[in-house]
Amino acid sequence: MDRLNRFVSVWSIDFEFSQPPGERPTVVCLVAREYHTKRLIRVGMDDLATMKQPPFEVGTDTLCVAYFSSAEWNCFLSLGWTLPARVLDLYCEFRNLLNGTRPATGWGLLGCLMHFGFDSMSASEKQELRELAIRGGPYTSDEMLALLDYCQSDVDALDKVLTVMMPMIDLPRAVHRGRYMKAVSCMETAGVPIDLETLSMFRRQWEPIKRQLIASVDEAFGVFDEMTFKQDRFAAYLIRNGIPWPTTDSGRLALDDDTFRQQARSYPVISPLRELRHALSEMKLEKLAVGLDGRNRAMLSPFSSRSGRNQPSNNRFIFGPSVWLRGLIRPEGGRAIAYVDWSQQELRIAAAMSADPALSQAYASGDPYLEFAKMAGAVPSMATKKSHPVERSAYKVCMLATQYGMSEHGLAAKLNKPVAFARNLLRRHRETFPVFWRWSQQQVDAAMLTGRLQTVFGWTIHTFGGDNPRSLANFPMQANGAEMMRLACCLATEAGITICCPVHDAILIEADVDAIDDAVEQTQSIMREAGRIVLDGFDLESDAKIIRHPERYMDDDRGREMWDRVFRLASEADRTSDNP
Amino acid sequence: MIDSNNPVKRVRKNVNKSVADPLPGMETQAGEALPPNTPPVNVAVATPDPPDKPEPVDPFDPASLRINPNTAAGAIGVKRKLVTLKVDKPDKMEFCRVHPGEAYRIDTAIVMDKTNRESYLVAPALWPELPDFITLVRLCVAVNRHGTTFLWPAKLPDPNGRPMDWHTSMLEAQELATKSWVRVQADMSAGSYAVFEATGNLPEPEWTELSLAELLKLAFKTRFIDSIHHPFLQELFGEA
Repeated sequence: MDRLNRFVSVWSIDFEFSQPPGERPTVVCLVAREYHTKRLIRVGMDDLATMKQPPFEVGTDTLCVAYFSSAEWNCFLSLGWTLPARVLDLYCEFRNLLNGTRPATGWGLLGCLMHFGFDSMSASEKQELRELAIRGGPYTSDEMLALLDYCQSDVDALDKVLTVMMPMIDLPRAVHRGRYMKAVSCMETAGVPIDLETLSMFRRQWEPIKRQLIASVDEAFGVFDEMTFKQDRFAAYLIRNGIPWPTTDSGRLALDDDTFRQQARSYPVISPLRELRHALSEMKLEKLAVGLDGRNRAMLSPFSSRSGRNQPSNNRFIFGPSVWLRGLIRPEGGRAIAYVDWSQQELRIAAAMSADPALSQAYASGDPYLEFAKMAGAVPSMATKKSHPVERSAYKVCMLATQYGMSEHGLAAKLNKPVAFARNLLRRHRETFPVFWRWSQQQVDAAMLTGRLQTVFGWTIHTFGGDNPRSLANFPMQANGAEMMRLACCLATEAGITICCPVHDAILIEADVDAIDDAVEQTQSIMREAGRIVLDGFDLESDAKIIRHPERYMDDDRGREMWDRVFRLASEADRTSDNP
Repeated sequence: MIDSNNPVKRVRKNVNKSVADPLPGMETQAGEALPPNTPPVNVAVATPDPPDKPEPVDPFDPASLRINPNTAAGAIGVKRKLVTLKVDKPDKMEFCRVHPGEAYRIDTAIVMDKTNRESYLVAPALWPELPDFITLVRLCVAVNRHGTTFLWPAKLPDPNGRPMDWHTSMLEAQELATKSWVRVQADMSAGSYAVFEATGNLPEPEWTELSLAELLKLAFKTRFIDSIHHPFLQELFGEA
């Protein structure tokens, strides 16, 4: 524990709070204990309401320890407290120690305790007290005592876990990860501005919308019975139209979305049916977590994927898979949002980390896909995006596919071309970027030999045999991209920029209309700096799209048609119900 | 608020934190240059006039935390080891190249086992004893478009007989393959091999680092005949 001695104080912290979906937390109580002196602080709801600052130091000489600490820092922000300077989040470190496996006892604090062989409070007892906290105040003195004891039991657990984990923790980089948990709390507190009025209308009219959507699409297919998709009718439709369809091992028609998507490429007539099924299955409007202030606040679930990226709930988060639903994002009056994303982040990471000069040249050209086609001799050196759109498109798909280690069969299916065509494209990629391929293979070899791969800041994937080499080959791009995103979020939130949320390789920021241009410029500068640190000096540029009130957010090429259709149906249904 | 403040003031153990050491905690990976800890309390240290205080270094500065991926993973080298080598003419579907170096070809003799589609390399000393069995060939080191190395045999014309188009066309294909990617396919009506040259802008192949002798050893392993008592010869002679 010598390393902890270098801090003047080390505080293990836990809050209890209630937080309805989409709202900010209402703090119920706080328990904190200093690790060395064992000084214990227990503060109930009423006292917390009067405190302007935390009851312990939070400067650079203090280390604050918590488990999944973005929740704790959300409480700090709710109370109007300054966030601590140094954070050690044992959830992040537990995850980092075992990333690549699935601990039998789960990733929670209870699971962590059990993993290290400690007893813990029974799950049912924990659930009972958690429900009491979620219920919200006012509390009797007995209830508050029980809640403080419960909260303290988590602090006790933290101390146990800290002691046993400390020798395994790379402290400076752990504190670096903890820094991101503070940024997460800033983003979760800010949330994404939602057009509440339209959301209410959609929720009100969702049943008639669904019926109308089905009726308008099913006219051409005849595969629905009321609201139910009938497999036998779909089989009859396929036979009528001579469309071959993959089956599952049990011989039934494969009806998963991937199959529909693949088939829609070969048989575009299927597309509307696929979109409808997707919309019906994915659109769970009631689960979208929007607070009374019109902000979508969903737990970002940092470090939840193998690459370390965030993994927020698809249903609660507005950037879930239903692309068209993002039209609900709209800044309030006088405000603007900006979607700032890195330009071809993964490609740049691959070029910088592999030190492949040809790949760097392709990136620097501004259109790496066309440049790849030129390098491979598939198009003349004077070719442009306009003069050779088909070739560029194929080379683009190939270039992106190689980053995911796609096979020739997968690429052929994606391009809807013969396997030989895909094989040839992949071979050209190997021949054009041989340094990248050697580096990529080296990463996989290293993972298999040493049992792990790690990012520039030590986020680690552990391999235990049977790992998918394609997934391992993709890890450096994904995981270092995640590092870059985390660092940019830290720098931007600390600079006072309001980040609504991160979205894969993009950041959604918000500012007053007259300040948005400056905010975008500052964000881009920060993203460049983050890229430079992660890639050891290589610049990574970004693009920005600004949306000012009353405009809505909408992806460039996806979702608009569906949005327009749903909006029209909802408006009509609303008018009808208002004027019977 | 309950504060169980311990009356004993915490004493920091073994660390005499100086003003110039603002670093609360530091843990490094091997090889990283980071500020050292100050010495323990009891260590006597001669203290000359202090120089100008260095700028405090933030141990959590991301730039100083960066792990060089080349030292993390790149130090481990893995390369493909050639353990087998095919001896055959190229498939009619594959383009290939022949190593242009003279040191990567040899005119020699082999014995064909047509039943098992295998060939045996024969030591020159035995050639006079096996005139009815050996075939004179030119063995070239070649590589296909998948990067697979193989030995490409082409029959040499019988010095005492009429040159055959099958043989000469294959030898010419080998020669052409030293400069460009070629594919060969039997043309029965012409009685020779049709040779196709790739017209695309294809890259140069990557050649093996092994010598011809090493490649021959790999290719023929147990199929090198250096004695008249070799089991395959005994089989040929009807002695086994």
